[in-house]
Amino acid sequence: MDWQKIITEYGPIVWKTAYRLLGNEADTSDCFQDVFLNAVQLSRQETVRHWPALLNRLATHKAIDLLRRRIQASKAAMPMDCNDCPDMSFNPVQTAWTHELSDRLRLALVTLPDLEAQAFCLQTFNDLNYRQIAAQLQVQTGYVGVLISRAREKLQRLLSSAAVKEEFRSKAYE
Amino acid sequence: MNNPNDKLNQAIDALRTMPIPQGPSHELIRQTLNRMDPTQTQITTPVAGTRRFSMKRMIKFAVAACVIFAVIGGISIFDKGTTGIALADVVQRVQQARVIFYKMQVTTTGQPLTASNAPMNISGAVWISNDYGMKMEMDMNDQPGSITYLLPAQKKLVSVMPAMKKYMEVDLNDDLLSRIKQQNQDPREWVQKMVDSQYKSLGKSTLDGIEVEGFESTDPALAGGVAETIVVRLWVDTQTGYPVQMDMDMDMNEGKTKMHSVVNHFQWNLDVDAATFLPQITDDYTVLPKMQMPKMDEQSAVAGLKVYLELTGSYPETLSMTGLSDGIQKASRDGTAMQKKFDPAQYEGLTKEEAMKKAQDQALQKSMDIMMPIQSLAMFYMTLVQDQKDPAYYGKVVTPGDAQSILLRWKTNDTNYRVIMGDLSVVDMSSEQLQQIESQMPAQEQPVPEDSSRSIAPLEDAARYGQLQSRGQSMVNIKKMLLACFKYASTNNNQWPQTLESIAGQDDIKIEGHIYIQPKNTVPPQTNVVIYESYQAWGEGINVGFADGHVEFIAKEADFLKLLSQ
Repeated sequence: MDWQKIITEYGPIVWKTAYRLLGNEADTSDCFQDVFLNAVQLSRQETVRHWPALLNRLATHKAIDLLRRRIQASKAAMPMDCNDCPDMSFNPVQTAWTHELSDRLRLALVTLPDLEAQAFCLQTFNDLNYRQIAAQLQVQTGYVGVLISRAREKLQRLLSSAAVKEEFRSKAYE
Repeated sequence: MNNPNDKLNQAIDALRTMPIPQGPSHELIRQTLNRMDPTQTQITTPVAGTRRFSMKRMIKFAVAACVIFAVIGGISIFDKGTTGIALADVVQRVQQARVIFYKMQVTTTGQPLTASNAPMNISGAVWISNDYGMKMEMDMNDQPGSITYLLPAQKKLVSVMPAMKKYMEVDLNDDLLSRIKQQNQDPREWVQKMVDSQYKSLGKSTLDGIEVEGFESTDPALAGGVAETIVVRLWVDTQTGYPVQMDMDMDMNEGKTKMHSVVNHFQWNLDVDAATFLPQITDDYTVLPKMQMPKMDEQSAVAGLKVYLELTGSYPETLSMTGLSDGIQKASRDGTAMQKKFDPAQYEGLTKEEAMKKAQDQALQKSMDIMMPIQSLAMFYMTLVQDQKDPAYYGKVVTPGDAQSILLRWKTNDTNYRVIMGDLSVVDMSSEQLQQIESQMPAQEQPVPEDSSRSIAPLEDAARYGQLQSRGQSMVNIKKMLLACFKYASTNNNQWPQTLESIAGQDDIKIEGHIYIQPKNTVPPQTNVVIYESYQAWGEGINVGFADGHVEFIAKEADFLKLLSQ
């Protein structure tokens, strides 16, 4: 297996998927390594037919998992390290609002069941269709719609200010 | 804006369109490929070295440093043993040095320092001057940690954290100053302790091109109640008579924590000026609340037990620093008391930067508030062990609030004991009273003595200690066998011996009761099992020697069989 080639070719996909969910380079680097170490293990157990799809799924899964652990372990108010965020200071108000929304969505995502969170992310951020998601998550195609629908419903509810705060506090800190 | 669906779509857009920095870097790819080495059969957690410095890491670092100080500082009680002439000369030589420099690397695996089994690497550079004091730079996993200055003239310890632009001062009294000077990080003390222990010569060897003579001690007394097993090796330059390197391997926390340290790059009597020992603190640094050094008295021990109880809801099972840290870390991971105190409201009205700074300060303060009494408790118990006060601790079975049970006791004179009860009240007792209460406790509730060579503990304790000691001796024996195998291979075309009989009789090796699997390759994968203790029924576990020369105690048979199948 030419891992050098696989990492070079598909590493950027993993990086983007993980960074989008984690929001900082340090966690993204951890997640990146985790994904490929896991990929090594999986490739020993089964033949991988479509590397980008597998890596995308692993990146999504690992990133959500890491995000959840980071938030649960964090005692600080800021789960994201914005020192690493790219500079968007040309429009401070827009920047603040974008960060706020991104953070809220990440916090809300970690409160979802794994499958729902993964299905939602794979569709929303990786543009996979139901059939592709079903293949990746090893569920029936019809069930993907259910997962995504449930996820959206919960996220909508959680994204209202009061709700996300309550949910976040109850899930992550208690 | 109030439509929740709009908000979700906006949030999705925010994440979809957020700028993402270029990645992965070449360095990250290189590190990942290194970790994907096909010879590695276990998937481990990512190399922490890729992470940048953060507050959480600083706290972790502080915990690690506490353990290392406790461990190294704890090595201070020694039985007088065989005194080698050569080593005695070395002691005399190094005692004359007025300035010393050395580097240290400490690798720790297992709880409590790491959530997984990913190793934690701490590296440090240390300057010691008889005139100016001590300076110690320590980094964790290649990330900047802290620079600590011991300033005897000012009776102060200053710890500077450059990455955070913060510093902390600790006032020292004469007693503490003297204790720190004696115990902490001074290789002159280490050599002296080595001489005072039961050690043996390892003969001549070559280290980095220098001819050296090695000395090894596995004297349990070296562990000073801190580690369960210890192997210390000192390598001395045969030409100059100065130490070249010291290696130390320790098992703590019932084998869950392993620490390997290497001290080398010694320089003796180098030129330094006073400026080297002056803390580099610029105007943009902020000072952290003044910290007190951990006290090692009864009140502090009770305070430590209270803090632990508050955090975890029970008493610690052991009073070793590693065991205590383990419990604290578990409580932290389980989301108990520490996290419940979080209140997002306190950050309202602050900018993101202000909130982060406040959160960092609070996290550090909280960490100190917790670790200080915990450290006091561990150090108090350690001094009881070292001072041979016959301590016994019953934390595994005593219920908080139980005023009738003994939690911790130690001898105050020939006939009396001081006792901390289950409700944390402290009383005096005669030996007879103590015996009466302890005899009413079920046999399995007897404590495990951490240093039974000085213990008058019941038979169960002795038996348990015997098991631990024999486990340690067996590890050393397997290590010797592996070394003998390496030696054999080096003189036999890199072929491993066919049977252990080939190495029998060397270096007090005992081959009986061990299974040997001759590696098929001349350079086998490092995780290949080569030697293990034979067993008929699986007990607490067995010692296993690997192809790379390391020995591990494997507690679960399933884990062992998995290793064996590889």
